[in-house]
Amino acid sequence: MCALLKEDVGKLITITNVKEDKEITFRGYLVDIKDNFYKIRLLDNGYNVDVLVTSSSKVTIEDQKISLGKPKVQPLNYNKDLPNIVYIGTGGTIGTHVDYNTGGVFMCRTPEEIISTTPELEKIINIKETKSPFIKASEDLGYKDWQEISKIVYNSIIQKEIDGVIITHGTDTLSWTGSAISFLIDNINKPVLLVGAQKSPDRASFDGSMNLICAAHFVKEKIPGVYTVMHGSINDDFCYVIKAVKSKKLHTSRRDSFRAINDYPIAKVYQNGTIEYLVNKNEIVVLKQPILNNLFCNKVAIIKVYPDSDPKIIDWYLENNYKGLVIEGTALGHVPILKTENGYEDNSWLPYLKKAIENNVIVIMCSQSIFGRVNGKVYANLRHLEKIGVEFLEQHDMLVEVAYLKLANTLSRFKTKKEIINFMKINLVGEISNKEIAGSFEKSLE
Amino acid sequence: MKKIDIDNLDYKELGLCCGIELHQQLNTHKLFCNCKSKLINESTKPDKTISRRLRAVSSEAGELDSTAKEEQNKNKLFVYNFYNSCNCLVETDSQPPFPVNNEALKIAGVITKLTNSVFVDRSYVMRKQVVDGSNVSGFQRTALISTNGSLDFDFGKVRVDKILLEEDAARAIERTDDKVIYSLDRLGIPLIELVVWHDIHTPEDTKTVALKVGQIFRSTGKTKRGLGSIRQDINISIKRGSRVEVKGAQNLDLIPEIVKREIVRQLSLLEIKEELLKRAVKKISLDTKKITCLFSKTESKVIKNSFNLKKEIFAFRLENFKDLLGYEIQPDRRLGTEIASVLKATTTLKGIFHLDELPNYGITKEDIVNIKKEINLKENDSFIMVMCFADEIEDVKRIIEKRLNQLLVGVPKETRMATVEGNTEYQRPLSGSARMYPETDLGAIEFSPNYLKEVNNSLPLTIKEREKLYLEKFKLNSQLVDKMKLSNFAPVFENIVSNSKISPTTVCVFLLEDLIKAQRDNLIDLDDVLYSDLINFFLDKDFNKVPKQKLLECFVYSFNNNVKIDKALLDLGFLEQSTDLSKVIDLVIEDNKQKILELKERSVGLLMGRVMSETKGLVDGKVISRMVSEKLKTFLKNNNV
Repeated sequence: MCALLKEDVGKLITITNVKEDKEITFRGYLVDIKDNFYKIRLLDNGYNVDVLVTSSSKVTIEDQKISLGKPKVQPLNYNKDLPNIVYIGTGGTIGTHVDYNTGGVFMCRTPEEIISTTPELEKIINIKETKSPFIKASEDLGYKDWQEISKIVYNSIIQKEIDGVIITHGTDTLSWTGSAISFLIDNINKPVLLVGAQKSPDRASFDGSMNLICAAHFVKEKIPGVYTVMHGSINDDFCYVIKAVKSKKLHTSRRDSFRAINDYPIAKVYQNGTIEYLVNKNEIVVLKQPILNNLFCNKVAIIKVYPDSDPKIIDWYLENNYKGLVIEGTALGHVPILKTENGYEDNSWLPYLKKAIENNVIVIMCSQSIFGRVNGKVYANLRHLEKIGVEFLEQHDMLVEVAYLKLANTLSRFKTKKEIINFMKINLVGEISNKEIAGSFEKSLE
Repeated sequence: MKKIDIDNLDYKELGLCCGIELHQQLNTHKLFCNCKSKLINESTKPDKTISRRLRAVSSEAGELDSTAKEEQNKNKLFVYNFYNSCNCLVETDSQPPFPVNNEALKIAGVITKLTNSVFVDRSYVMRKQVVDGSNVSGFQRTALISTNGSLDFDFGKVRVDKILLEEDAARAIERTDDKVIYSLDRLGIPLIELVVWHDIHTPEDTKTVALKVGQIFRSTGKTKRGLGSIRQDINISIKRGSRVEVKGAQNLDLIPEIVKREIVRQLSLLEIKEELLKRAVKKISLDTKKITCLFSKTESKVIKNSFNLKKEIFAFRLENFKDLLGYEIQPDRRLGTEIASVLKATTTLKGIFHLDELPNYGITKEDIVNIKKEINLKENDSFIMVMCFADEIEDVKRIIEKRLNQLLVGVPKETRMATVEGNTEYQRPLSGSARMYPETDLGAIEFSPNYLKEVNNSLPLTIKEREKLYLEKFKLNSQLVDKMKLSNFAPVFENIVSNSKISPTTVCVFLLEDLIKAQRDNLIDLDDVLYSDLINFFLDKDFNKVPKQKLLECFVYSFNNNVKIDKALLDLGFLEQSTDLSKVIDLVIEDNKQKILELKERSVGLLMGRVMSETKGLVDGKVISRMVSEKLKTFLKNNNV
């Protein structure tokens, strides 16, 4: 037997073992070595198998090495009649590359490689610049990344010749990033479109191309704001353009998992460029000069409340100097109150929240119901909360993650509680709707 | 030019080598999800339709795969019919696959053992790129299970190269120029693919091997039956020709004919090559000539129809091709048809016209004269004319040119499709191994000692062993033996008979005839019946209470309502309550007192008859007989007889 090393990975090898009185020979490229198993990619049919190599195995190596292909890069053409965009690649499924040998999926595509999956783009937009501040899975992103992206977005949209920005991003926190940008830059005056994919580009059923194409078509509409542009149905027919602050990934794996919550999508965009507005586009205000505030206080937490949940968790946040808490209460915004004749049971959240508020922590109530508004009045238990200073922000309907991001931004903008709360109540970018349209709930799940 | 005689082929001299790939559907739930493996009638309204397009993807070498590229050319919309009863999000490529179906894996193991194959040490599920839309994801999942098997035949040993476990593709139910409608019912059904090495050297032996492998599949008792549940692809090559893969040979009896006709085709193409050499034809390049105006007053329906669609007519002059397009390369199939079949597979064209078949289709002698003049046709030339959209003609020209130039080289390696007569038509180029890469959503497949033990415990009897067992021990008649030994139900049958005292013939008839009848009458959906349902029914403690004539009715009821036998009997009013029977017998005895005292023990027949007619055949005769004898004895004793 000749023992192979990791350095031999990629070489053409032949292994012969005797099994059940037969000589079994496998010839192929060595892909990996784990314990005594050699993973090889069979030369004649492309299947991967593990072959157990023991002292009686015959192994021969040939020098021929497999050449791993790289994703193709599409040269970009310029057409003066098309809108100009800045393209920002940040990672995610849309930017994955499958290692055809190991089957591993890596997030490693450069913007140029992602664009090459969708050559149609060059007939719709000019990509003036490509940026890739980092390549990360979306679950790994944090506020520093949002600040970095916001800086690039800001520097892009203040350029006169730039008509919009397209950001490719992992889908898990796609709308988090979109919402963060919405707050970290004031007066976004051009379209900033976030695009992802649920299926990787190695497959012919890759959904990211259509999302990119639809986003590209939407740029020319010059609708300011941050939007997600993802499949609108299980078919490859159209994408929904949804305000990032109202957009949520409601399904773990479907192409059309992004839905507008308490809102209508702005528009439907078809692959051929047809655009159908679902709202009155004349009501969308065009803003003047963008300002990058890039403020983020990372001492904000989301706490999910559930039956029998332990409120002592709040003490930990107080000890660690948190300045804001977003409570994900049940339905209208309840937490276990557990009132007794002489006070409250040990597991009541009320005394703990009271303590937090007395310590100048801003406590915002959101709902785990996803759809609908919170309310501080309907039940006595809600009134207890409002009385101690838990903020229902005049029956807001912000998604919990949006409230979190807005609070983190607001806490850095203002000093006094009054200023903070007042700012939280203002509908800045459509994150709080002033009314719920009949049908938007049904529409979201259609 | 000589015509190849199909009845006088010397296979040895030709160096014929045939291999077979057999694909067998398994009768278990889908390979990568929990959906039932059942087919839905095409006329059934789908619960949802989904429309998708596939994109060209580059292989790892960064190049578009040739097969993929050809399909991409078609730029089609794929519509998928989704049925709640046998589909979930997995088939729509909207959810990652579940771990591989253990039962299917076990059956693959059993077939591995039955073909003397050897398991690989560990396997990985691969993605095989398929972009004709038949796989929603754009790839088919497949895994190598075992290799190095062999089977013995009278004519020698045939190697079983490998056994694969893969998912079946969606079923095309309607094709138009720009759209294909697929039913998702079949997508994901587990398939065993068994590859027989090209060790077979005659057309008849090819059939024998296919037959034998089919029997091995069925002996597991876990295979689907019926049209389309087994598919054979035949690899055919001769020394001077090329390797051609023929798909879609569903009928075993047709296999020898397909092999023979493919040999004839290859030899005929070689004849044409010789002839072209003689005629000193070198590289063929075509000039496109638009001849639409020649047909402004045509009476030809085909041409008028194409004008309605705004198509144009083009002609290509083929220098020195006189009589070649009409040359028969397979029985009733000409070179012209061969070229047409390539166009049909790669463009929206339905066919071509060529000189050797004209005048016909409303194209007149005068038309031909005009065409000849227009394209400057010489004595030794021929022409092809096509009707297509103006923007298609470049592709059409390129494809025809390519195919004609291949004639100068010989037989192209390719994948072909069998026709009902046994001819073959062009389908696509042979697909290379570049189309394969690992499934990233699944882990490795292990063949653990526990798994191997389970496989060994599930090995079925061979057909010969079954014959012996059924005839000698179970005492079935030879007609039933012949049916049961090849039946999917054989393992169930053996299980029931070995574990009960029920008559083998009763069980056999129930499984082979009654159940099929129930299926035909839509009383039951056999796809839903598990073997354990049947075994549990026959081994139920109350089974002997079921009247023989009501076996099927009782099974159908207990299965459809998911109840045990006692409840079924009660609900159906079949319950032979021993008290009721006892009462009936008492009454009959009472009514026939005189007769009984006269006939004494001989009155048994009379009593049986009366009781049977009273119970209307609902109670098993044996039970009645036993109770009547007892009661009669007591009665006679009590009356001091």
